Amino acid sequence: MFALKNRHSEHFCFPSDLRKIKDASQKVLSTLDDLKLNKSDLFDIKLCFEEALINGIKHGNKGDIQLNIEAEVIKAEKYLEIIVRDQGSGFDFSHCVDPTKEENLIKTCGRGVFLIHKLMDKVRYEKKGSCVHMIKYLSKKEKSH
Amino acid sequence: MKITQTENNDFVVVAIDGEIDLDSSPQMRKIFQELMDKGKSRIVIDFEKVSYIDSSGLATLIEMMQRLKKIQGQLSLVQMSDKIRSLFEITKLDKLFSIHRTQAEAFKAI
Repeated sequence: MFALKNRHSEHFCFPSDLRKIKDASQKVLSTLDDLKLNKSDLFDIKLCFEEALINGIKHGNKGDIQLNIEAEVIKAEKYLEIIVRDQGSGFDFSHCVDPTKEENLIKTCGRGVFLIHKLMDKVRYEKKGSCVHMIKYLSKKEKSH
Repeated sequence: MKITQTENNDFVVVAIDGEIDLDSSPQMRKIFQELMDKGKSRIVIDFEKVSYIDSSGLATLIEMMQRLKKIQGQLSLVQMSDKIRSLFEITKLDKLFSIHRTQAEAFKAI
């Protein structure tokens, strides 16, 4: 599906600790400096990575601080892929409600997954939802939103 | 996150400097609770210096708006960057919140 040419990947392992989200995010984002991404793409990547991490900690690892979250950043010529894996038994994201429906607008949950799908170019799940692959194509015109 | 409050007649302008996210949402919730305890029910949040917001931040704003509604209060959001405004549009929360370009526009609308 993806060309292996010029791929570079980095692996990370983070504790299942919501207080460490910012540290994890900074570590991952710092590896993207060489890509010279525009501010909008960086915002999207940061948001989606942090939302995936929060989901992994809360819904995947159920807040178990003994468990870890693994992340992998793959930099290819035309895209950036971020993989976030938790150690839980999976989570069925298809059951997430559409937060943009009028009856769901005032609900305070469900927007993290929705935003990941909207802000990344491709999203797919593995292992019953305990692993999410998020892809952002590079060198494209900035989205209008 | 740094929060500055300014009273302007019936309104309280809450200017936020930094990121509204899982980490900072409790601080924002606490400030709002203190304002409501003081009987302040017309609140304008100034987003001029907000650089980032996540789904937890959006959820906290929804929660605050709902609580203000219960006491016939009002919450307005002003001076958002294009990027943050786009998140409100993508999530359709721009239909739920009263969003204005400037504080003056918000005061006029309230």
